[in-house]
Amino acid sequence: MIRLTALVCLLAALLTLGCNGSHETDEVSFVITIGVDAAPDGQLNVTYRLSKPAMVRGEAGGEGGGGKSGAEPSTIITITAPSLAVARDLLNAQVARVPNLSHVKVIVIGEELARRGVGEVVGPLLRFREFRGSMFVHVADNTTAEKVIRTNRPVIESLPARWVEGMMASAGETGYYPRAFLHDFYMPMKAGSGSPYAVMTGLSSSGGEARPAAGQTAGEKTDEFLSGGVPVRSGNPVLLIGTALFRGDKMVGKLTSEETRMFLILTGEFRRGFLTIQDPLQPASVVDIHLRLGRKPKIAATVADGRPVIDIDVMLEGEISAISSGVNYEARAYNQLLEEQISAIIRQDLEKTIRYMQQVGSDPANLGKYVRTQFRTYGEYRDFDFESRFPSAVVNVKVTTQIRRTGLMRITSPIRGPE
Amino acid sequence: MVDNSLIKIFNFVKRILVFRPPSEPSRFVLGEGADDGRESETTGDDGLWSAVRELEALSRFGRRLETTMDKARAALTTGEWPSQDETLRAECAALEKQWRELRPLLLSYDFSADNLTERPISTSLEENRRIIEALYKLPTNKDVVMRHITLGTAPPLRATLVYMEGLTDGKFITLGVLQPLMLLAGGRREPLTGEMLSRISEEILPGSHVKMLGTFREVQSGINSGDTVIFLDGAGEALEVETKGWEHRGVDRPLIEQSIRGSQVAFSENLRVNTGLIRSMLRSSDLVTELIPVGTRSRVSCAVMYLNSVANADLVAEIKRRVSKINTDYLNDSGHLEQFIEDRFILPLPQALSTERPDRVAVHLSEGRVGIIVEGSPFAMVVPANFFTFFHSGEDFSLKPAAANFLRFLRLFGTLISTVLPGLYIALTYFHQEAVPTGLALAIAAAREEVPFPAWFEIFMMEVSFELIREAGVRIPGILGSTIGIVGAIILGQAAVAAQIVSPIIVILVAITGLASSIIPEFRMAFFARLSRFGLLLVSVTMGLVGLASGLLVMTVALCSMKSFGLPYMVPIAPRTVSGLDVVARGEVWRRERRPDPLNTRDPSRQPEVSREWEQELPAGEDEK
Amino acid sequence: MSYQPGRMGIAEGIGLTFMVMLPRVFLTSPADTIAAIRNIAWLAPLLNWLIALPMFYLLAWVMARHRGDLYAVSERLLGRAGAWLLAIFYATLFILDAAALLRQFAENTLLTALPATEFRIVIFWYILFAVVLVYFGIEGIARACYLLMPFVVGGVAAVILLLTPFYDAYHLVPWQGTGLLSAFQRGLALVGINIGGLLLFVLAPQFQSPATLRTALVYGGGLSAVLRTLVILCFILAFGVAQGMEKTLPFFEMSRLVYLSRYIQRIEALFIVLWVITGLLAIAINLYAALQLIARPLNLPSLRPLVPVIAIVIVNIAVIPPDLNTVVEAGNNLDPLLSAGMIGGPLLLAVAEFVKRRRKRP
Repeated sequence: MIRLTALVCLLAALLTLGCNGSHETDEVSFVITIGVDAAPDGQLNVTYRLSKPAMVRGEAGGEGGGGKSGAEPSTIITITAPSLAVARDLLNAQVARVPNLSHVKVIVIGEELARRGVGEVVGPLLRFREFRGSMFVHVADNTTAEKVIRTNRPVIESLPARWVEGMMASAGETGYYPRAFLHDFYMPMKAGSGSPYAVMTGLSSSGGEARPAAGQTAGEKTDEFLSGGVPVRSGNPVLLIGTALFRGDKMVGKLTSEETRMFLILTGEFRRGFLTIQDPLQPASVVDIHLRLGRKPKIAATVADGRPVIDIDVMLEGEISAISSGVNYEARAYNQLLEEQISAIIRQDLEKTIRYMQQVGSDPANLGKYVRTQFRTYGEYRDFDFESRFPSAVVNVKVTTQIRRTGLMRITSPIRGPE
Repeated sequence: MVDNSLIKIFNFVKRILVFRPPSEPSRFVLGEGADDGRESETTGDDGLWSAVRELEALSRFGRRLETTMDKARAALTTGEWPSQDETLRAECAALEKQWRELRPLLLSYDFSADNLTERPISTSLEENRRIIEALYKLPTNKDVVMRHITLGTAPPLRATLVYMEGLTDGKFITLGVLQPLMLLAGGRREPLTGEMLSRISEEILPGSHVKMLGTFREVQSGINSGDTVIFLDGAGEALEVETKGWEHRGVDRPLIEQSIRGSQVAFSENLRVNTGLIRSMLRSSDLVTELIPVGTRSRVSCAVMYLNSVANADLVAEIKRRVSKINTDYLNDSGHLEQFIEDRFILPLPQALSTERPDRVAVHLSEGRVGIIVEGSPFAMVVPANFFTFFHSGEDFSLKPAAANFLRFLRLFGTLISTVLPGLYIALTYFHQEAVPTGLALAIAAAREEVPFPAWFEIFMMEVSFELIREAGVRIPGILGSTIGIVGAIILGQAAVAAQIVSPIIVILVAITGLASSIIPEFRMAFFARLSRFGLLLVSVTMGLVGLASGLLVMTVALCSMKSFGLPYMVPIAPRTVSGLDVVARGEVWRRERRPDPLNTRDPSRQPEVSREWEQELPAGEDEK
Repeated sequence: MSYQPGRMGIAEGIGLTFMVMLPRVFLTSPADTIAAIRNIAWLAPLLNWLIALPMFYLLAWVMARHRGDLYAVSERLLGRAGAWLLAIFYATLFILDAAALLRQFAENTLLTALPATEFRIVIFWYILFAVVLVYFGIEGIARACYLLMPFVVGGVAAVILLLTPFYDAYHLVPWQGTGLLSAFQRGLALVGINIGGLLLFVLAPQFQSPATLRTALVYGGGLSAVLRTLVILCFILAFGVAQGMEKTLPFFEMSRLVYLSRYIQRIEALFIVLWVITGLLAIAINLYAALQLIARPLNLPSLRPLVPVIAIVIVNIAVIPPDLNTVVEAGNNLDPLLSAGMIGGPLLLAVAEFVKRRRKRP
């Protein structure tokens, strides 16, 4: 009993001395988003979005909050500092609470900084325990991270954190942007193959007119966009679309929405999305197909004359969702026409995308890893140096498509015109 | 004194002005009396008194001798000698016996003050009466009744009945003891000499339990437990007739351990009724009930019950050894006894199952455990117990395994929650904010924003108030019970949150822990969960999850190194033994072939491999084909 | 708590071996192994287990022919001086091992769970709880080990399973890493990880028979080896070799990475709990083994008075290195010594037994 009392007293002493490093919830403030931009003289502009718990309550509580409901649930602070660590300390100099970075959902990197190189920004991220590999990485398209963070006003979500997580969770619904973790971003920087990539975030076209980033592939009816050209009129001006490509730690290129799909098809992460194509029989009309991957793409690689040869076999499954012409594509004979059309489009797109990747020397789909099987030891593989050989690699693409279902209509009856 | 108004006024003024001490009764102070300590008993005074008592006894013997001699002389002179021969012989024999008792050495020993209970029963009825009077402080003590009668034998025999009012059945004493002695004995014309007492008990007394007693210790325990003791003149022994018949609560429904299925009988305060209840559920000739009296001042019977052909002999012997080697003056409850016989251990965990349900005791007895019932306590103890026993309820085996297992896991889960939750909350919000989902972290932070106390203090405060409500709920008279609910729910929950003294999340937390600890069937186990909750809260506040984990680890190791009556506490998981399909989860009833292995029972098998024998046969009505 | 603290069986043996062999998987060791032999790192734990197993069998073979614990047997085979030397050698190993574990666990607590806490408090906390555990006796510790084993395995399995979306099988190729030979060498060098298994022989009289010991070692050690293999394997699968080499605490990184959905992510908390439990148990077991090995040759009637003394010695050894890298390095330098103990001791005893029997026969 005496021993027990002694132990309790000891613990109580430890507690009251306060050297155990605990923080009450009202002594910390949670950072939700970090933006990093290039500043003159090699400095960084670091933007923090801090949540304000009291406001969160006001929003969620409804009648309890009263007048608070109009207030922002978070606040944004931008600091210029030589490094992230210094910025954090400067943040602490302004905010009366200890900034807690363990709830950071996303790190947004300005395009300028991304093109300059992010090695010294990302490296420390994984060393500090409050950051983690499961944060998302965004690159501000044609703008600064600060601007993106400041203009971001989620329409439905009250919390910006929810917006980020919701966007990333629904990435698979369209395939217009990948789900890029910091982990995925960092690993290729060190590994012997693959290249870092990040989601591109940007502001929508202010006028609301469409400015496609690239021309349509023959037979395709969908426009390819980067964020600046997306015709969105109201709502949240910030959107996620496209992929930023890196080589080493420097950004070297951008994938448009359609190219991002191709990239995701290569990694096998493309879950589903609509594809609008030209009607093979009545070129004026369009057919909508709901596409998904039939299986992970089969990719095999060999080395011939010091050049990697990569064979890609993609299989797609489709479901017809709209036929405007009324042609009976549900029937097997026409069906094949449609399938061939889709395969051709996707193959062209894939080849175009891969060519672009080779051109900028970035391998986000990690095609290099398939070459690994050709080597026995780590040293041999490293000596091969896939990265320098990637632009000269031979890539053979084969696409097959199966229309599995025709939606809820089994035949299209013609619309009675006036005639 | 003239009673005019002037004097009245004068008296009135005088009453106001002159101080008079209020008339208080003189106060009683319980002081340390002279004879408080043990030492005072052996003062020289005492020796003097025993000498006086010795002399009185001798003079009484002298008077008796004198009357006998007078009688003999009269008989001789009147010539009635032959007819009175037998009587006088008997009287002389009695005198001789008494004289032997009065030898100086014995005398001084017997009459020293504290030895009354150890004295053998005297042949002199007079002596016996005096001893009883001294023992029971008669005539001050009104509970003990001494009834003097004369048996109608030839020669007439004087006798004294002693019994305790209130513990005995008066009707039975009249019909079953007094009537036969006074009427039936009278029919005998021959004198009751020689084996007088055994003849009376064999031929005259119709009572079911009649016993011969030799010392006043036995006499007292007989009287104190409601029996009637008969002293006969000239006999060096006494007869005890069972006349127990005190008022007690009848057999009732279980109040604490209610069940939806299973038997609906609970123990009451009467020991023999309780043993009877068990025996009525476990009708086996193997079931042994041993009665061991405990306590020097009040001899309380403790019944030790076990199945002779199943229970481990060493276990039974050890328990009997522990129960019989308790030296205390008074024992009033089975929980009291448990603390006297259990192993010492640092954690306040129950080591014996305490139950008010005879069916549970019966089940455990059939598994080879030992039951202990204390007279006057409506709770039986079953030993040895292990940790998981306390999460079982009586009806677990009346339900199908799926249902029973669900309930059992729920109980274990509840225990875990009720011990860990507050600590976990503190650890997470103080040290590991990253482990909480962002939405929840913000919600917690938002709820705490206006609260003026640290979170650990909030929890501590709410836990203490919850404990207050709980304790008040137990202690408050039943009629006022509903006030506790109002105070607890409205004032503490609602108002504290509204006043922003505590955050709503804490209220939810404390409510859940409180609820979870109520799910544990055994009250004492729930109590342990409540206590350890505070301990874990403390280590969590100090070191976060590291503290919580180390606290839990120490608790686990402590549990694993604990034993209950030789049985490891965490059996059958640690150490691993064959469990007989009844630990955390229980199996199908017909697959439980073995008794719990760690009990090392004499007969380890419970039922054969195939216990559903009917499955081996054809269904009824099909064998004709 | 004396020389007869209780009776133990297979289950307790399994628990003890499992817990005493596991904790290194939570420390830097997997990253070290990856740095040394790259893609094939996952083979090392299996290899070192396969090398250690014959040693245990050899020792069990010797023990089966004599009664008593390791000390008694070595006294009979090597003489009193030899037995003394062996006991002191092993006691030193266990103390050093305990010190290394204590320091690393304390340092890593600062690194992961409690960044703002003072180092002194953490190290004091760990040794305090280890001492408390030892006070409860080895029987309780062993049973707790067995009881907690499913939770530890379950926790590790949960992390491994929840990380599935991050796995990429191509991280394992080229599969030979730096070559099979180097993998074998690494496996041999790390055989000392299994030295905790010798504890069972130190406590031999409390177990039912040498066969019990063997079974316990095979299953307990085997399970722990499988778990170590799996963790390294999955670590490479998720992080790749290049990134994997960088990490200080591979398992911590694994639990950090978990992201299934908005709700199932960041399970470091689980990791911390697992890690404190295994770490504390391993320190306590090592402490107990050292105590037992010191008390036996000295014929002490009880271990208890010695507990605080050895605990203070361990703490003082643990705080010698100035920084974490030195600790890890010192740990690596300790490995050959442990391996020598792991292989040398059993071989020595087996040879002595063999020679003795030879001499007796003619």
